[in-house]
Parts: sequence; structure tokens; C-alpha cells
Amino acid sequence: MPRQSEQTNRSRTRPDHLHGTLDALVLKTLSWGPRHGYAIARWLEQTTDDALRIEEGSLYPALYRLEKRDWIEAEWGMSELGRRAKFYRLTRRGRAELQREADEWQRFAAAVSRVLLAEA
Amino acid sequence: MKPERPILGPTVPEEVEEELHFHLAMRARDLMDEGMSEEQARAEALRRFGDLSNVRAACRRLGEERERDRRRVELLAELRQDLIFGWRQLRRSPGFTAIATITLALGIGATTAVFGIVDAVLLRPLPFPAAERLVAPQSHNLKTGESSTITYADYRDWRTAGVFADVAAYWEIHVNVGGGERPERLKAVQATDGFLSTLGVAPTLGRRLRPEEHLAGSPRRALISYRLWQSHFGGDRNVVGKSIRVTGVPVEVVGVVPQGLEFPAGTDLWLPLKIQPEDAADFARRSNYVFLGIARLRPDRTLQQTNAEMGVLAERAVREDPGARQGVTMIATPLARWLVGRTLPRTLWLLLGASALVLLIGCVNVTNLLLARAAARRRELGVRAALGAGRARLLRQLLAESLVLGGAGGLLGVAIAAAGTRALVAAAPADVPRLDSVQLNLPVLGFALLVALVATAVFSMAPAMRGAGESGGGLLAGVAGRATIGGRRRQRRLLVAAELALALLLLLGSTLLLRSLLELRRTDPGFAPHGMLTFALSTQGERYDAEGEVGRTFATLLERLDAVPGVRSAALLSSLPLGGGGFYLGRSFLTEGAPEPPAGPDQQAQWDVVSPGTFATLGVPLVGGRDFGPEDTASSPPVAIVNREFVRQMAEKFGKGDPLGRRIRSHRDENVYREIVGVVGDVRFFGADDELQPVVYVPHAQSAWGSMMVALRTEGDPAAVLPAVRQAVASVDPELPLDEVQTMDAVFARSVAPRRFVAGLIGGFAAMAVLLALVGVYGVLAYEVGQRRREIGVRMALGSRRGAVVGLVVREAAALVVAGVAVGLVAGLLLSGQLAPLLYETRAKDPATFALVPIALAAVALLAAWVPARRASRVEPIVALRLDG
Repeated sequence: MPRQSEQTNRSRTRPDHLHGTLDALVLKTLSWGPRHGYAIARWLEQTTDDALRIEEGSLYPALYRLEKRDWIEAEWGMSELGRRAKFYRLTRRGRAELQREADEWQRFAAAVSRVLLAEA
Repeated sequence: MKPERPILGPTVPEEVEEELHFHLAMRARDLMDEGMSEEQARAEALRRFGDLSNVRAACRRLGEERERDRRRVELLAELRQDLIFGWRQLRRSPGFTAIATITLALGIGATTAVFGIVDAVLLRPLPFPAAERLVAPQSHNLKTGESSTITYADYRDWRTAGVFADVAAYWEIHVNVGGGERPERLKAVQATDGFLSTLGVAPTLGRRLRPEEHLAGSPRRALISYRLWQSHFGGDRNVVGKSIRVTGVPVEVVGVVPQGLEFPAGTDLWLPLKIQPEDAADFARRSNYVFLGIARLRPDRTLQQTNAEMGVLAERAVREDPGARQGVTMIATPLARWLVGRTLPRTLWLLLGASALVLLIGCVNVTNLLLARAAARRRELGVRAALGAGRARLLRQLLAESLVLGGAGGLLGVAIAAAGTRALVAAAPADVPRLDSVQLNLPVLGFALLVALVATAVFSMAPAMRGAGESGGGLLAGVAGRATIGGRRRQRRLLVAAELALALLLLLGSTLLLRSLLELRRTDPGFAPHGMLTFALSTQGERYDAEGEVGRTFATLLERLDAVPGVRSAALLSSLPLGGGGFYLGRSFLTEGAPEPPAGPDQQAQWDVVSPGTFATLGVPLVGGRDFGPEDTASSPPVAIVNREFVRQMAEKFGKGDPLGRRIRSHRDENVYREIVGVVGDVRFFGADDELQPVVYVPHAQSAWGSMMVALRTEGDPAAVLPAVRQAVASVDPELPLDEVQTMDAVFARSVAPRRFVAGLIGGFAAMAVLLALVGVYGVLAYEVGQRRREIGVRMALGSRRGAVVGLVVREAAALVVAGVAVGLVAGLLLSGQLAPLLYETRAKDPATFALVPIALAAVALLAAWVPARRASRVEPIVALRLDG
């Protein structure tokens, strides 16, 4: 049942590849250590130079989805400014997933490169 | 589902709100750092965030789903934990666990085994396509309410009027088949066109018979059973077109009927019914009820509509031949119901009910054990409640323990059912239909699971509610206190009284059935069955076509059988007493001068063709006149011998007078005046429990039937003469097979078998029930006595004598026993009417049974109470001081 509603939601909000990319980026961000949603948003904004052009808000459903899949887990803690914030951390399964996605991307990129950069 | 507040931390909506708010606040702060006004910064933060309400909704939904998943995982983990914990708890008290498990397993096993039979015989549909549309047309006597065979004429009516989608008339015969190791006499069906098509049976090989193959003079063709295909043709795929010797002539095989679809059960050959022109008038007679019918309802008709149409046609038949048809209509009965008959369903449901009672009593016992255990575990439960285990959690834990118990009982029960089913099938009377299809299939296993679950719910509810219910209200305080002991005791005693009531119910039923069985075994069958061998012979084939050949052959055969060493005398009968086999034919008779119906009454009687000396061989007394003798021949004046019951009914219908010398005729068929030359004693005709039947015996010499039963009076063991008897038969005709060989003792046993089976089974269940109830009485009192050691010790210290203490405990037990027995007695009186159709020569409210059985049960129950009472009296006064309570 939950799986099903997730599917419908996915097709309603955003194209699939963008979803996957965002998920992978979030996982990557968290691979360096726990951080809260806003910190993830800031990091994404800086590293991708806004290339993804996503609305900041769409980060949160992604976080909840990843948490539900047990790839990341959350804990309430104090932010750097002394406010209560929800901190996310990569789980063991999340780390494995990140590795899988990185490998896949590498294979994909290599294949595309071979085609695009082949000498005529 | 309402979101449940996590023990630590916010609910999902709170969590989402706070997280999103944090993001917006942080963004606004950063923007303000970049130089925006607070207002601008807030607006910009919202803009960059996107659709806030959408995001909020998505997060909430995902969050709720996440929580739900978590709770489910937790619940499963807890359940697993509970089950493991329950298992450990049970292992710590192996005695309790073993007794509870075995008690449950016996009940579940018995119930499941009986249900397996109910399922196969009553519930599972017949193996034919759309079997629920199959019916058995029958004649129905409006006066007696009895249903019986049909006539060919009525079958033609239904066919012509299109009452059914498909219909056939048939009869069951025996045919001698050659080609095997030795000649065999096999069960065959002779049917009109449409028999297999009505059933929807498609042959494994070949085809069904065509309509034109049922015409007189057409080539001889037949379908054979799978069994016959294997035994006579070795499973040859090219069997179609080959021939098999049936009644001495070759018959071409056109098809093989699939295994399991033989109808009627055990049939090996399906032959076309061919009506020779000279027999046509006989077949057209409206009173010639010799056929069985099989039909398929039209798709556009219900059973009621079909019965209405049959009724209209039957009324037309009455107008056509009022003498034969007055008071008779035609009805259709669903085939499945027709096959099982009337008493079998009642019997099977009764058995299922009895086994369920055993299970129920077992559950009550386990309940009591659990209650006692719960009392012993008050400390443990109290501690756990004090440590923060919630009421629901404690309840779940207790239920999990019960579930382990129920599961173990269920598993063991299925094993018992597997063995029990085999034993039941082996012990069941041979004529129960479809017994061979009894198996522990999915529905039966599902039933076992259901029974185990229901039993678990029944035995665990009361103790669990109690155990968990107390946990909230200061159980720790209750460790020392005794506030609830009174209520607990009352509950236990009520349960034991209920057990006694249920056990008494079963015991009363089984005693009535047992009495019936004893009455039945004591019944005088009217002859001496011990030391007799019987078998069937059918003379068939061209060699018997010559005039008088059948009579001559049987006469020679009797001479040779008489000469066999060990055989004292030999007799021929067309139908054996006690339903032992043969062709049972009822005919209606008139005395000389009496008017034919409807002007006057006629008398129904069984028609039995016998040889001279039959009565002496059987041991049936000749009351008056003479036996048949060599003077009775085909050309001498026709004679008959009647039994006493015939004389009695004849006097009622046609006036008193010396029966000897009176002439009677079977006015509907033979229509020959026969002089009564002898009167013989009555024999139980259809079975040991049969009411007396009027019988007319005629000499074989004057009615030379080819299909006869042989009865031999032997010197010693009847089975010992069989080889010599086979030789004697073969010396007369080597192609003549002996069939249905059995001793008369076996015939008698078979006629008692259904009652013995039911009485034995219910008796077994009753014994289990009584044993369980006694264990219950003993257990509860032993436990109470244990609890009251201090009180008893005080009494002893104050000078009570041992006898007084025993009296005290037994008196308290007596109240419970009397209450239980009284309730059981009333219930028994109310319910015993249900048993009436299964009883024989025993009243459903048999005073002796209803007086003695409750007293006996009460006596044993008090004995069971006396044992712990005596132990109580051994308590030394000193314990009053030692036990701190």
C-alpha cells in the first residue's frame, strides 16, 4: 500500500530522473556527516550552482521518502544557532544505496562519453 | 488511524511544521544577513521554498506512512518476542504444557477427523460438472411419505415433455465377465440413452453410446471402467473396438469411463438398455417401478419448477391408471442428497457435535489450568505491571502464551486427525458413500486451523482478561491480599460444573445408542445365522437359453453342493435375509375373489424365490403346512409359502381364515393364482433392525430365476468349505463366477455395523469427555485444597477431626457436582429427541438411562473430589502456624 501511493505521488510531482538525482545528491551530502534540512539545501545550492533549479521545498518530501525507506534516519538536536532542528544521518542501507547509485552513474556517464566523444 | 504520539518527540504534523518553519526562518535570516528587510526576507524565503502547503501535505503523508511501517515492524517484533517468551514460560512448566496440549490435541484431532468425513460425504460437491444441477427423479408415495424407484413410462413422459435438460433411466445388474484370471461377476449399469451425457462424463478413451446403439437388435456395445480397462486390457490405448466377454457373449468396447467418475460407485460396465419388442408392453406399465433415474435440471428451471412439472405429469398418469397410481406422485431430489439418504447426514452431524463437545470440555479444562496458573503468577504479572508493562501488553503476552499452546495443540491435533481419519474410514460401515475420498485436504486443514484458533480464544479469554485486568489495579498490593480469590473460585467451579453437564450430555446420548446396539444384537433374526456361507451366482449366456436349463442347472448345483464334505445342506434364495444380498422385489397381492384397487386394498409383500429345504437350511421354523418339494414343478399347480407377518396382514385386509389353501396372486405382474401350502416364521428381511416384512416365497422350480443367492449350512468354519464349493460350482459350469462370498455372521455384523460405528464413536467421545470432566473436578479441588491448607490447618488445630474435613471438602464439591449433573440432565431431556431416529427399541427418554447415568456420573465425580479431600485431611495442624499466608 505505501509503495503504491509513493508511486502515484512520484509521477504527480516530478519526472523520475530528477527524483533519483535529488535522492542521490541528498545521500551524498549526508555521507560527510549528519546535517539538517536547511544545511542540505544550502550545500545543494552551492555545489550544483543552481543547475538543478529545484524549488527548495521539494527537498523535504525527498527527505521524508528517504527516511521512510530507511536510507537515512533523523534525530532532533540543536542547530549551530541554538534552535531545535531535525538532523539527518546516512544509515548503513543508505550508504550502500549511495554506492550503488554512484556506480550506476559512472557506468552511464562512461557509456554516454564513449558515444559522444568518439572520433568521427 | 489516529496518529499515535511517540513516547519521545513530536507527532508527525508537529515534526513537519517545526522542520519547515526552521528552514524558512534560517533562509530569512541568511537573506537578512545579505541586507534584506525582515519583511522582504520572509517573502523571498517563502517564494524560494515553492508550494508550502503541497510540500507540507506530502511530508505529512510520507511521515505517517513511515510511522505506520515502524509500528508494524515493532508489533511483529513484539509478537515474536511474546511468542518466544510464551514458549519459554510453557517450557518452564512441562507438566502443565503437556496436559494442556494433549487435551487440546485430542479435541482438535477428534473434531478434525470427523469433519474430514463430513466434508467428503456431505459437503464436497460430486465430481461431475455442475453437479448441483443433477437430480434423482423418484416416485413419491403421498400417504407414507416414502420415495422409491420410477417406471420407464414416466421416464418417457419427462423426456417427451422436456422436463429436464437431460434424463436417463437405469438399473443396476450383475454380469459375468470372462477374460480375467477366473470368471468374474461385476457390477454393471443398464441405462437408456443419455446416462453419461446427463452426468457430463466424457470418456477417457473413445466415446459415449449413441442413441441408435440402444435399439433392440443393434450391435452389442459397452463402456468399461478404468479398473476393468487396466485389469482386462492392461491399459491398452487401443482398447476401443476390442471386445470383452459379457454374459458369455462378446461385447465391443466403445469407451473408458474416467477413474473416480464411476456412477453408481463401483460400476465396471455401462450397457445400453435395449427393449425387445415382446417386452414393450411390460415396460409401458405405469406400475412397473423397477428403474432408477438420473437427470439434469434445465438451465431455465429451478428444482421447485421441475417438481411442479413432474407433479402435473404424475397426475395425468393417475388418470391413465388409477389402480396403479392413486396416491403416487413424482419428485426430483438433488443427487448428492439422494446418495447420502436420510439418516447419514443426521448421524455425521451428531458425531461432529459430539467431538466438538469433547473439544469444548477440553477447552474448559485448559481454562481452569490457566486460571490456576494465573493465580500462581500474580506476583510475576504484578511485578511486570509495576515495571511499566501496559494492560494491553500484558494481555497480549498472556494471549501469545495461549496462542503457542493452541498452536501446539493444533499441530498435534492434525497428526491425531490424520491417524484418526484412517481409523474412522476403516471402521465405518461399507455402504457410506464417497468414503474413499476422505482426506486431510486444504478445507479440512483450514477447519483444523479455525478450530484451533476458536479453541484458543475460548480457553484463553477468561484467564487473560483476569490476569491483565488485575494488573492495573494494584496487583502488587494483591500479592499479599486475597481480594479476588472468591470470584476466581466461583468462576472455576462454574466451569467445572459446565464440564460435568456437557460430559453428562454425551454420556446420556452414548448410553441410549449403546442400549440400542445391545437391543439390536439381542434381536432374533428369525433364523440361525451362525455357521453359514453365502454367495451370489448368475447363470447367463446362450447355454441357458434352452427351456428349463436354468432350473436344471440349479438343481444339479444343489445336489453337488449338498455332497461337498463339510456342507450339511444347501439352499437357494433370490434374496437373503438381513439384507445379505440378492434381488429384493416387492409385489402387491390380492386373495382370490378380492376386488382390484382402487375398488379394494391390495397387500404389499416381498417376493422371494427359494429352493426346497431352504427353511430347514436357514433354521426358519415351519409353522404350518408343508415345505416345497420335488412335487412342485413347472407343470404342477402354482404354490407359495408365506410368513406369519403376511398371514397377519392378510387377515387385516381380506378377512380372517385358515391361510393354508387360500389362493393369492401378484395381480400387477405374474398374475397367477398360487395356493398357500405352508406358513413359516418371520425373518428380519432387510437388516437386523428392520421391522417385520410380509414375504411370499415361491419355489424356484416354478419361477426359475437365473440370478440367485446360495446359502450353505456348514459343519464347522464356513470359510473352510469354500475351495471345495468353488470346485463344485465349476463342475457345473466353469464360466460361472462366485460373487459376494461371505459368512452369514458377516452379513449380520454388516447389518449392525452402522449402529455399532456410531455407538462406538460416541461412546469413545463420551469416555473422553467424562475423563476430562473428572480431571477437571479433581484438578480444581486439589488446587483449592492446596490454597486452603492454612484454613484447614487452623480447623485441625481447633479440634476438627479428619472425617469432618473430608466431609467439608466433599460437601462443597457435591454442590458443584449436583449443579452440573442437573443442568446436563435437563439438557439431555431437551435434546434426546434428536437421537430418536437413530435409536432401536429404546425410548429417547429411556427412564433407566436418565435415572442411572446421572447418578453414576455424580458418584464418580464425588470420588474424584474425595481424593484431594482426603489429602486435605492429612494436613498437620502445625502448617497453620508455618504458612505465613
